[in-house]
Amino acid sequence: MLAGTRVLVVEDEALISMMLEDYLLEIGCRVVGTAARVEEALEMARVVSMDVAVLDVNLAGKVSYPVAEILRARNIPFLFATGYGTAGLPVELRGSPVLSKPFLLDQLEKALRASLGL
Amino acid sequence: MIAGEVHTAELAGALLSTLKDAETGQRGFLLTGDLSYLAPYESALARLDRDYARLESAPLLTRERQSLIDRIRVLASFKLEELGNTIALYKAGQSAAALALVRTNQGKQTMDAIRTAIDAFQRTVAVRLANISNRGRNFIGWGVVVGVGVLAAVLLVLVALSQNRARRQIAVSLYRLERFTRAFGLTQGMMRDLDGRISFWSAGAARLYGYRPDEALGRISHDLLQTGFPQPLAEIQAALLRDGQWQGDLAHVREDGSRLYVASHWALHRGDAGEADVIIESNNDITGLKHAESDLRESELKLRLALGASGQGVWQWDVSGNGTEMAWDSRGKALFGFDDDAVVNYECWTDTFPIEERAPAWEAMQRALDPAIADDDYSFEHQVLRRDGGVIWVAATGRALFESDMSVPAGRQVKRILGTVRDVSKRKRAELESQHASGLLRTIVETVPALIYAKDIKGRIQVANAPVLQLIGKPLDKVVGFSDDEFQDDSEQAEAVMRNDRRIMEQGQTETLEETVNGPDGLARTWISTKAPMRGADGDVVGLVGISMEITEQKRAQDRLRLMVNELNHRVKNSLSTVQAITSQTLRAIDPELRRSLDSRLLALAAAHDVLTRENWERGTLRAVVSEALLPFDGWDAARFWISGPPVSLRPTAVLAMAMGLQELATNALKYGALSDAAGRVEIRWETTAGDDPSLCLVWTERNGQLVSKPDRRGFGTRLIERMLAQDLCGVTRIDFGDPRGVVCRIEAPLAEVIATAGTLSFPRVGGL
Repeated sequence: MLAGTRVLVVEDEALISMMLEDYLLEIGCRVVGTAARVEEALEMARVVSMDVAVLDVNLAGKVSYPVAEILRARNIPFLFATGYGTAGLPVELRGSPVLSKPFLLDQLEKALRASLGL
Repeated sequence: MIAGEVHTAELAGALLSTLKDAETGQRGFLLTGDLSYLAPYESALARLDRDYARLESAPLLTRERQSLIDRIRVLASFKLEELGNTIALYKAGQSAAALALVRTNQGKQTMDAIRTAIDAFQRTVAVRLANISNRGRNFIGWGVVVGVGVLAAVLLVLVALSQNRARRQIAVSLYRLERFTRAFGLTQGMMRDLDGRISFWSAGAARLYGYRPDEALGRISHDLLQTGFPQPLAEIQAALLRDGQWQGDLAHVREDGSRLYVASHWALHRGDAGEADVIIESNNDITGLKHAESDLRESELKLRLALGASGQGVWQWDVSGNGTEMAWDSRGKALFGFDDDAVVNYECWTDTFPIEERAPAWEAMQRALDPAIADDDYSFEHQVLRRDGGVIWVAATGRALFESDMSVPAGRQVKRILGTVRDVSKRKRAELESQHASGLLRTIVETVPALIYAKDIKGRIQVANAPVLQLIGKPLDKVVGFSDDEFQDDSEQAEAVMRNDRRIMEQGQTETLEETVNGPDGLARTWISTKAPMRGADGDVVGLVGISMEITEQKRAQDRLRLMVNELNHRVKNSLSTVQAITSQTLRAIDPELRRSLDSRLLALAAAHDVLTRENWERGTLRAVVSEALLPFDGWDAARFWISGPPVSLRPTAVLAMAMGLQELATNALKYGALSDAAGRVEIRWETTAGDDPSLCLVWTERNGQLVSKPDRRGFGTRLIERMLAQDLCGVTRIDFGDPRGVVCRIEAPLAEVIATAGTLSFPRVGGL
């Protein structure tokens, strides 16, 4: 199932990032990288090999949309994990899957499956 | 008999001629001194005695006639004495004395007296002739045709005589005939006895009434003509006997039955002994006049009725005199508060006007009276301050009547002015009210801080107030008749406005909507507009009217508020996420079950926040709360969850309590109840009840799940449901674990405590802030 899935975690808050990593590990995923800032995330999005990315929207006051654009260009699926609703997304990203914070482990699992088309 | 009478009249005429001849001879001699001129004088003296003798020997020498002859004899002797004296003086060489005697005019006066006496004598002949015709009916043996026939006979006799007698005599006869004819022939005259029996019926009367003389003579005239009298006949007769005459209007009926009115003159003739003899009646047809009079009366009546119906008073002012007194009818007087018998002149009339109206009224009156100004009627509307304290408005009109007078430049003189006046208070008050209302409306339109406008069906501005012009930045004439796409700089905004306008006019529905139109500074401004279709008299939409108020600031504030609420929610949820992360990390190795239960409670709290955030933390719908709460439990699965109930908007505390309660119920069901079994389902049904204490009732019913055993110990979940719901909703919550078919939870709360109302978002004043 999700075992071995390579996931990029972009989250500026350490505790949440840690929990997210725990959850991912729990469902058998591999965390291939974590980024807390946009620049960092952009770099990873360009170069890191991955199957899917979980993106926080607000990274220390900056939005992570450019990261999503790169991933989309690379045909890498992603999902937003955010406290804002879908309404907060820009038009071009409106259809992207969103995981509303806070979320349960199985909600994360379902969201990942959905974005991977599993 | 008749011939004898005529002859008698001629003899009197011959006597007069003789005396005139004597005078003519005297005058000729005195003027010329030629004795041959005395021939007529001397021949007259010679004829005189014979003339007297003939006259006195004529038949029917009545006492009246004899006394007249005696009088003539005395007067003639005076005359002859005067003539003889003057001639003697002249012959004695005292021509001056003779002429002086003539100049005393005594002779002329004497001659006039003689003429009068002879006239009187001849009149007796005329009366006698009339009596003859009357008596003719009584004495048929005379074989004389009477009535008008008398006149014909007179004429015939006269003609016959004229052939045989002297020229002079004919002249005298014709003179008398003329008098006679004038008196009785051509006028519509009749003679009748005192008892009314007709004794003479003139040709004029025959023409007027249509009765021939033979039909009229001998009849009682008032029967024949069905006379209508203006007063009792006895009174008329008495007046006639007293005064010798009577005049008045009578109504008569002609032979053909038609009615006529006559102005009648009756004269009483007395006989020789002074006894009342005959009545001579002459009648003039005044039927046309009477009809005109009655027409006038009728039209006057009609006018009065019309004036009365319209409440108009009538006034008249005779300005050709010097007085200022006016004639007012009682309605006119009443309008101005005058007593019915009050004398009203121009001054006291205009005293009822407010002071400032008096000069204009006088000017208007002067214009109307000015003969040099044509067709300038008096027309004046003014207030009346009545003596009783009442105030009314009247409209007076008047037309001056002029008389042509070529001696003045205008060619006419003013005689009087006639007019009407009517109470127009009602109309005037309505006018004033309407003026007041339109003034008020104008003030509103010009002072209200909003755009007010009207557009035609093509969207062209028809009416615009000052704020509209300020927004567009152009004067009125550059705005009226133009549409938004012509005066707005931003074509997209203009098109959006016009699209709204078209929709409103097409659908004929009033709408309130937000519109964006840049201000003169080019910056976007937001307007809240209410636009209504404007309909013509036939009900068709002909345009729209609208009012727009700027809400740019409010809009901005609202947007900021929304942003802040969103941000707050985001941060709350982030905090909840962080709490979740902490507990998750902390409890990771200890108790996965505990961690999950904590996770889902935090999640329910976050979901409730989401619901509230969508409505700016003012409210949340119950359906949204239920959906969000059940989302982690596959709440979208319609086979598992039967959700039904009317729209209910909950206040924030109720949203949170309900979300937490439902979360606990669902968790419980997942662990022990319906949701732990694939076949189980949950029915969530709510309703509101009306009445004095309306309430909300929500029932959670589990079916087809595992059999539930009542927990030994009331866990946190159960306590949370009961306490939190009961407390935060001020209601009652009962969970029934005893039903073998599944758990039933019934939540009841007063509607007033749970539903959102305007102004629900209240921040408690804490710490005396």
